[in-house]
Amino acid sequence: MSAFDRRHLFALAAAATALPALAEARPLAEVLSSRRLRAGINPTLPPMGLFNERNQIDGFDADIAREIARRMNVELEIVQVGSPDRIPFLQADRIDIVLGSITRTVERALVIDYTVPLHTQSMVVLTKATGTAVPINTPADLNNRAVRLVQVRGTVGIPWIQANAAQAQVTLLDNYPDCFRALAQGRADAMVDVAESVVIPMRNFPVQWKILDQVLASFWVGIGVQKGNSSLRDVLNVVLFEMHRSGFVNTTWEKYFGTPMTTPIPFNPMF
Amino acid sequence: MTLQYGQILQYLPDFLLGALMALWIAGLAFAGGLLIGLFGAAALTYGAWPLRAAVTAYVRFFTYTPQLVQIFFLFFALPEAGIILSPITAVLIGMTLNAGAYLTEIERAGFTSVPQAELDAAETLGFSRLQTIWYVIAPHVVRALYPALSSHYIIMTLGTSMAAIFGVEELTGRALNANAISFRSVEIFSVVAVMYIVLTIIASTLLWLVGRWLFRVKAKVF
Repeated sequence: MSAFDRRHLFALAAAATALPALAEARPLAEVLSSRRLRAGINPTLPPMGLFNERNQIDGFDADIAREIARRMNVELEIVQVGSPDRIPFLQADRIDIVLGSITRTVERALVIDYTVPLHTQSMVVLTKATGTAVPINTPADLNNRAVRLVQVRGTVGIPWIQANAAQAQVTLLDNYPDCFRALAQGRADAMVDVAESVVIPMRNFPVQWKILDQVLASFWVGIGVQKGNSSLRDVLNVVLFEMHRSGFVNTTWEKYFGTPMTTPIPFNPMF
Repeated sequence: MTLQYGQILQYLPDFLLGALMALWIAGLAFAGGLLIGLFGAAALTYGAWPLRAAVTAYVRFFTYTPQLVQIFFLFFALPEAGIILSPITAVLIGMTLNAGAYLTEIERAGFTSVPQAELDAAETLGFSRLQTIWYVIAPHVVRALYPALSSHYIIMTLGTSMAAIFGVEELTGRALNANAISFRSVEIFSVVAVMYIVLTIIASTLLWLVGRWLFRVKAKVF
């Protein structure tokens, strides 16, 4: 059974378990009394989430979750989630918090609650130095019938393409490796996505990549908790504020990316 | 946390188009597979040994490997040789070849149900090999195998969800898009599950109509 099938089965299974009674989230008191915080992390998004050489889940999100648990004086339990099933896991109360580059949008805020931002993302155009259907030197070059774009389903680049590059042909695939492969093989010319999701994994493909300089938009990524679980979210906000203030978030970011965040998070004690 | 089905109403027209796409892919691949299966079964029954060996190799290859791997090969491995198939082409070719292999096996069983007398009659009337297959053998094969064929068609209709991995926007693909945007997984996947049930019923009905009109099969849909 492929990872794809497994993930979708999980999503369906998680959805099915959630159907009879959408389990109420564990409020702060329960997290503290059990001394256990369950964090959903997607290990297929390097460097946010990845499997280390001991085959354990690691990466930026794992470091952040460990630090949160340490500051809250509870044990951290990392639960592996994938893109389609991470929200059902939260709804079914299998995890208390969910990480994994969950971009803050209005549609999603209707379903889950977000903490204050943990990090930002910058949307850019990823293309190849040579071998594209037409030369791509500015984002405007994408709006051309000859240009073939490839995107991961549901990512933030898609609305941008609909608004700014409606002429281009778009293929939607299920995950990043498939998209990079499609680009490497000449099935597509470019991809519009956040730099943070592409800079590390694209190195695994022997292609002369080119990232255009223009940042098309910045996005804010928070940690997700179940809708209405304000007792947990309020504490996480304070914890994250302290982690920003101490420099922990930025230091961890540079540890994994080698550069500071493209769009820094302003220091804000109000939330 | 409550379920808000009202929030996903906006996606329903999109899902319906995806459902039509699923029905269309399954129908096309099944029709193609049925034809391949008919000739494959004829080759295995009446062919010379090199032809039989070739058909057997084809059937073995496609029935001994997962369909996902077969389509993956068409979609991601062929470009290494400079052949780039569009998502829909790769899925259609993959599903047709896969169906052809399974249906060869299934239809071969039906060939034994053709009475020798009818074959002799066809020969006496001077039917060509193709005419014999279409007018004499096919009706028997379809009638004898109707239950097995319809269940394979249903499996294929549900199997179209695999096409989502290769960028085909059928029902599952569109559900995944909507899920990624709205996070309303429970609402979306429960609606999509119901839509697949409806699709299965539509597929069975279509098959029943075809069986009735073309080959006068008397079968129950439910």
